[in-house]
Amino acid sequence: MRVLPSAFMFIGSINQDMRSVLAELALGFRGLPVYIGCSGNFTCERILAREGIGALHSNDVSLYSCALGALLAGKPFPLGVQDDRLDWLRDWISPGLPAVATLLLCTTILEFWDRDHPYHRRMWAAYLRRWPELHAATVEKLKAGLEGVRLASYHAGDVVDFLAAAPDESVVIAFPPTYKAGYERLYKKLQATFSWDSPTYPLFTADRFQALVERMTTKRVWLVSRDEPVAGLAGFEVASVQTGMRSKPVWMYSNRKLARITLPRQKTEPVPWPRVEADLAGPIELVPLTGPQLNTLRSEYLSPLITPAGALLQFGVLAGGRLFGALAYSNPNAGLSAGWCDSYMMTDLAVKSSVPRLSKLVVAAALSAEVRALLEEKQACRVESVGTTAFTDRPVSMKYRGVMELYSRKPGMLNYVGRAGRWTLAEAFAWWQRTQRQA
Amino acid sequence: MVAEDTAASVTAERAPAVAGEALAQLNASLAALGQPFKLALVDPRSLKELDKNAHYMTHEVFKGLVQNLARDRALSSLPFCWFDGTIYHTLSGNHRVKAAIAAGLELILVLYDDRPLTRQERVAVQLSHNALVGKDDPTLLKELWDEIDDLALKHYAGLDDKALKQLADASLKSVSDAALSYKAVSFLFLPEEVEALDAAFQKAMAAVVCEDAYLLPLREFERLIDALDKTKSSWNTKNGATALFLILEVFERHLTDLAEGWLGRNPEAEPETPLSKPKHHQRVPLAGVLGTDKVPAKLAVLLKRAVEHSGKGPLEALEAMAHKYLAGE
Repeated sequence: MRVLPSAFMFIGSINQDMRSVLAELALGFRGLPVYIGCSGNFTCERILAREGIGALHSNDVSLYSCALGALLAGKPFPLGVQDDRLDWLRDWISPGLPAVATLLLCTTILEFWDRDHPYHRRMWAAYLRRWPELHAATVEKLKAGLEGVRLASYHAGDVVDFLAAAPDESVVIAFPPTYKAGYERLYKKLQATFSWDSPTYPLFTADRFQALVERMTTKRVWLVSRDEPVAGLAGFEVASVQTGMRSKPVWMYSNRKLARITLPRQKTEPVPWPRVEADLAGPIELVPLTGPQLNTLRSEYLSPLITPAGALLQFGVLAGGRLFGALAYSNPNAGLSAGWCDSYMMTDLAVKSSVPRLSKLVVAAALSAEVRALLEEKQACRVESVGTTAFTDRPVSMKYRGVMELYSRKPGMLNYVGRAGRWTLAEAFAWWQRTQRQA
Repeated sequence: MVAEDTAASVTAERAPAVAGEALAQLNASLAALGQPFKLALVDPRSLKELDKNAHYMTHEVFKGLVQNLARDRALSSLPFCWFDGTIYHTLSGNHRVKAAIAAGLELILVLYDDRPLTRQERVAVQLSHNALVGKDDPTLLKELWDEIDDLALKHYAGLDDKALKQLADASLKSVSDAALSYKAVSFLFLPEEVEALDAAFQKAMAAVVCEDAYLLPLREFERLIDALDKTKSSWNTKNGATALFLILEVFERHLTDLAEGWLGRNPEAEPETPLSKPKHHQRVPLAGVLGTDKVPAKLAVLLKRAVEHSGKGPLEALEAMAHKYLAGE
């Protein structure tokens, strides 16, 4: 039996739209006991309790969920601190809300524990300094958030076994969490810090999901979600919810009747500058754009098949007061620039015009000292190089050739890098007029 | 039955020619009935799109349109074109044509006008198709929307329950750990050539939401960026606050350098003589002398005893002790 880390948490697997769908369906659950698998942060339970649905039976495997589940079910939950370096935590795990609040805080702060980087040291010190007040505030938040929520039972163990054992005349619900990377370290720290009666259970694979569905669909009412369509449940779709442009839609299936869809919608705003048409003249200048204005320009001038992403910084490029292009840069924390450039240019678009090689002028402007200054101001660090990607199957991108250097070639994409601040906007324009207009 | 028999007898090879002949006949009949427009079956890639289009479509809407066309394998609303004798120019339905191409449709039906049209007339047609559209009564729209209980058909309809405010209220109080509170500090750098610095400062202050703001010349910004950049690179951190905190640690290790701010050379003394006089008479941090704000407890006890023994205030006592020491007592 392979065992999943018990500390795997409740990472927002039930978004706001899913909550709404559950609240609507809950009206049909009255009079039946409800068995909830993968309770996580007990979001389902809180919604159902608010709608007056019960009795509620919950299940999960993580340390935090098990502690909270025991509390809500009125059962004891033996918990100890086994890392002597954190022995001060022993004063903060008295049974009930104090212990749960400590575990909840530890899911955040142990990320910074026992690490040597100044950032982690700084955060750890800040949490330690403020621990008493943070703990008290967390207890109050838990109290308020869990008001009115009581469980008939809590099962620490495998979700398939738990729901299989539910009576036929019951409601069974499972929103299996989407596991995210980066929790192994936290898991190790939580496990190393606390001692508790940790359950064992099989890895939740696609086969286990299939087994889960088979058990659930024998019950009177069932509701399950997945972040991809489930072929075997076709015809039972009750909702498809998508909250972000780049997030996958979550599919909700049930034998109750409902049809809800939610889709992300971009905000757009008018872009007030006239556009360059047949000709252009200097001076070249940069103007700030809002995110919704960038969305408008991307909708107008880029392939509508490109899924847009949010930018850290975006601005328009004008020639003689007329807009001829737009530039957008991604947040360095997104990791697109890691290791090969100081700033990643996610969009460099030219407006539609009859001016030849206008896109090359946009790229030339992107490498100007003026753009560099804006990037340095925003990123608060030196920006020596700008990188970007041309999505193409061709060996070179004519748009970047001669202005930026080909850095790497991957299937369907070419990464280019250029020297930031290699010229001023005026020099870039002069270069473009000299070499591109007459070429 | 006649139509079915005819359809059954048309092979895939002959279909384009048959359709072409049928459309020619139909167009002739329409003309005889006084209808000004004609129908054509064309490759969407052969259509010339508008060189200037004020109408745009966001990614998500376009994606929905492509999915619908892929499902239907046809356009259910025909683009309107102007045929100049050689090329079909799309006056209305540019996004439908693009979506048809994206959906892999090889042939689409278009409605077209082949009469001579001026540029202005073509622009007027283009604008009218986007401007002369109706509005939705939200109540009736919701009622119609509620008639659809098939999720795929709701997708096809192009609306969604969130946009139509059809979702149930499921707001909950947050169950999460309390977060650290942060205080924002902004550094504002203005170009040196700005003459009315006071006015600029007021304007800049109004533009930021923070409790403290520091006004520094633009050249100082360059120095700060350099310092931040060096610190970030050295410690491999992207966090600006951490970098500033590291810079402060370096600063704290060089507190005695602050003496340059108040330690002036006595002009009457020999050049090598370290004795100096103050550059100003404001209060200065003791750390500039001691290199630290803290002293060992043992020394603190000794100093406190000495101060108490002197019967003076702490500063006066320190001054007296220093004078005595320098006088060789």
